[in-house]
Amino acid sequence: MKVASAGNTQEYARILYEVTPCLGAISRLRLLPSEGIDDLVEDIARSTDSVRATYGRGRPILDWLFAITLKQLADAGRRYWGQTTHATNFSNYPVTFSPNAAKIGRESRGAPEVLRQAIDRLPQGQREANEVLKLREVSLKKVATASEASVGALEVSVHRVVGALRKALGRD
Amino acid sequence: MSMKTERLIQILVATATPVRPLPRPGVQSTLWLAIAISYMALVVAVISPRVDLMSKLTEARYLFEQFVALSVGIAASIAAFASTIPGYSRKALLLPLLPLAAWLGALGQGCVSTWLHLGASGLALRPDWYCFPGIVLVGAIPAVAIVIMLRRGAPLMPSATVGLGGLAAAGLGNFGLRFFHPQDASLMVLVWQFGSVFILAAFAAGVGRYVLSWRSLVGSAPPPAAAR
Repeated sequence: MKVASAGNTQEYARILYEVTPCLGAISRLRLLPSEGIDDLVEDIARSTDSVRATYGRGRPILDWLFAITLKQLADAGRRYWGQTTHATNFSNYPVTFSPNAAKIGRESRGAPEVLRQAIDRLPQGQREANEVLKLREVSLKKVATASEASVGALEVSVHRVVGALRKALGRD
Repeated sequence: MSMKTERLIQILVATATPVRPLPRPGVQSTLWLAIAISYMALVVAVISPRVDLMSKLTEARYLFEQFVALSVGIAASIAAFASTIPGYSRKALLLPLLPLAAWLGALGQGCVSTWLHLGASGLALRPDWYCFPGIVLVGAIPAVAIVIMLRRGAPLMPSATVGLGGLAAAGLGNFGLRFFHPQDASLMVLVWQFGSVFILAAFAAGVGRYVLSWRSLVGSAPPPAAAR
């Protein structure tokens, strides 16, 4: 490495060709996804090249190289696990236009006119129960107190209303 | 090895230029100290030294506190430079602990001694807003110098490296401050000066990853597009 740092490109190439496959093997050992290994190895190679000046004479090259490699692997692992932890996968998520068009008034769910006619056809008692309990959302207890009817009777009445309306709308 | 990686190696080899190895951390620290002490001497000369400096230079407590403040600066700078060299022993990062402990111990002992002699009134804490800007003034150029020097190394642990660099500059700033700022009460020094050094070092550690990054280093290497 000392010779390579001094400008011997042949020696530098020999080191890179020898070391790069080892970097890939180490990266695979760190449980990183195999599709990103090549990019990671290139990052390590570029980083190592950028700090050649930090290699000191007489010091073990493997210690120097492993310190850079382990730092890059730790950073890559942090990035990878950070992304996978917070990522949400969408399948065929529309980019520009939604395939589901928005509803317009005429296409609204159900048929309001049919429903209105069905409510008009209800017996008076059931119609009043429906009006108070379902449309005005007054509690059963209050209606029972005001109408002097039992809560159970009101519940039966509401049940019949719902059944009659379902029948009228053809949703049985 | 993929074709892309092989192509990258060819580019790295083709563009490789001879590099001069960085000096050892101790040598880098000496170089930095030469810059920092020169600047500090200039600041002290311009602001003019405290009037009682000559008598202070014969006082053991003042000399010891100055010695440990300078030692903190030197030890922190060696540790900072060592942290940018891959494979260097991480034990070097602990170097500033001993002088820091000695500094804290000396200031703590001073506080106790004052309390024993003067009672609680001797430990009155007054605002001293001159310490922080004074340390920043003396430590500014050393801080810039050490950052420039650290950026030549590998950003293996940016927060720790820049934090230690900040500690070195602030420690030296405090060393310089006491040549022109007549504040020697141990509690005041502990709170306003040691506190300022601590805050500056913590701030430096906080911005470390923005100051040192692989991206800025690798940016000067062949771009990825060239390799693909």
